[in-house]
Amino acid sequence: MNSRERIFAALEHREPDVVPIAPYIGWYSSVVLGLDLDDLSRMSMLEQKIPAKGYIPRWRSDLEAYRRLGMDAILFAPCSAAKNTTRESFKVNRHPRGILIHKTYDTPKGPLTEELVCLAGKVGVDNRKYMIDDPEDDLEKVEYVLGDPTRIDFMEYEQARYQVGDEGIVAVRCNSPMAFWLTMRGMQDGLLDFWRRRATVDKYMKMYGKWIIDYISACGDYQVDLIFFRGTYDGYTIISPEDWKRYIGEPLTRASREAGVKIQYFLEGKCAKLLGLVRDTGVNCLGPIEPPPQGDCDLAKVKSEIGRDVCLRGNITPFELELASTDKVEKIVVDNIRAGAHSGGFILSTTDQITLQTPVDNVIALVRAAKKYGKYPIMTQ
Amino acid sequence: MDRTVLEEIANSIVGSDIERVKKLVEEAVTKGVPPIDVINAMSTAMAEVGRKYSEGDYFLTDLLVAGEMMKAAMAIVKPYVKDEPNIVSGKVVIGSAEGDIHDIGKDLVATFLSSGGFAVTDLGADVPAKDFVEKVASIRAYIVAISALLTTTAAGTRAVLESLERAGVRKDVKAIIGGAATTPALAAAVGADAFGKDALDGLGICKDWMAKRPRAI
Repeated sequence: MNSRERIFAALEHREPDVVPIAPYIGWYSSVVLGLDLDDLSRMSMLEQKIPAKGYIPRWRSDLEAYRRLGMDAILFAPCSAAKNTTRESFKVNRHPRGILIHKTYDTPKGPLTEELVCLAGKVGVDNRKYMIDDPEDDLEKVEYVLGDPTRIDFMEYEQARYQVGDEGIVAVRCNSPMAFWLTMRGMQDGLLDFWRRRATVDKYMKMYGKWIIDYISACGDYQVDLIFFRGTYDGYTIISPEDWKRYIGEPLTRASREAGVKIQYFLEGKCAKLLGLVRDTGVNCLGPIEPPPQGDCDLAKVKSEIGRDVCLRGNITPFELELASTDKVEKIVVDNIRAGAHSGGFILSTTDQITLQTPVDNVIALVRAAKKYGKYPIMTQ
Repeated sequence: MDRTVLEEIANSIVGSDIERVKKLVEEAVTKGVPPIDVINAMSTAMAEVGRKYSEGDYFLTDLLVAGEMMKAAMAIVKPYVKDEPNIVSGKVVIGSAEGDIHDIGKDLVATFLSSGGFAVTDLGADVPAKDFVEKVASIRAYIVAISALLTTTAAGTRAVLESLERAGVRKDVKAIIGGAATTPALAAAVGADAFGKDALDGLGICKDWMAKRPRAI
């Protein structure tokens, strides 16, 4: 099998020849490829915030790193919805801490702005101003900013898909309603708004819930390889299971059933109590299945509970990989495969990006061990 | 009477009723209830909120709301506190590691520590290691608390501890790390004294350190 067939076999609960190996590469590609982290970081942030402006897309460095490490690539391609009646404009300036991006959306209902700094020499951005200032006043404007979910620009997807060939698959990111709300409103205000102005939060969630159903459906029509449904804030340390059902479960279920596209639900944090609900949404794949202390998942238990229906992608923590000896890495991989890979439906991955401090030897040890012990049929003892 | 008011303050914090908390705290201090008793009642309530969060009954919003109530109530109590040193159980310097611009978890820990009687110096987010060292040395802090939310920035915790070591003050300070990217294994690897799994856990560890702290007399 080639990498593409191997990943699809896992997503479809068939046994591949060997367990697919697709950790989150992220910034680690700077280590593998010898790229300057600052360049990579800036490239990535500009790409996310100012799409289609001719920057080298991040999936290219990810693909090259996957290739060199002998892994099966799962790339991300940014695909934005057409903003028919909204004009986007950018101002990019030097800032003492990096590059300042000031973004304005002129919607028919008035302007919305956001401001952030891409930090020099560091990973990440500092949001100086979030897009939603006045939730009551900004609701209609935000709808315009999201754009028309039935008209998506798949150019970047197509390029990534062409380049990856048989070496992997390409995923299109879609924020979960919580990620949407907290990214646009800011974490602190966004969470406090559940208490301060619940009715308004309901309106945003309802509007975005409808939007993602249409967006995922359009991706299904285009037959993209995978939707990466980003539920970074969906664990129940952040929202209650009741809110999860209402705000996330309902639209995700509709999207899964109606869109005809494979979906990986990236559900971070504690989620053991949500497993049955996640399975019932009909998503194809669940990750990162974090163990304590970040999460509360035991891979073997998750496998026995929902592994017949949902492909699992996990669950080596980045620090296990960083801090272990190469011998220990082999043991971690073997334990992981034995817990999660039997009967197929498993993709070996880290729970988050590989840390920049992780020795390359450890990553190579991971790949070697996975190829050695991940051959099907899997020995569970 | 005092006990009833104090219990009501605590119950209102646990029940997320900010207007009632403000009214009751105002009433208590103007009627002469010792500020330390009011603060202790609020502290007990914060611990209860933290416990409910740890057990999965409360969520992050509940913690944030409790923190907001604590701040609002402290603003009312503060003018009545004449002998602050008596209610300070220790000095803590807290901040997010360099490169990490997230501060929500760190802010919560700071609020819990303040509610537990600690004098907290909050350096904010994306704090260079040298700033931790300077502040720890200048205020003679007994505890340094470092937060990291991202796996990519967790290495910043190591930089802080190494800088404290180089400056010769590491032996005088207890170090705790926490945040979504950290683990007990990372704490051990970077040379921290403890890992706090959440705000309540962090408060408990710091209180334990203060209780066991060697005293001059």
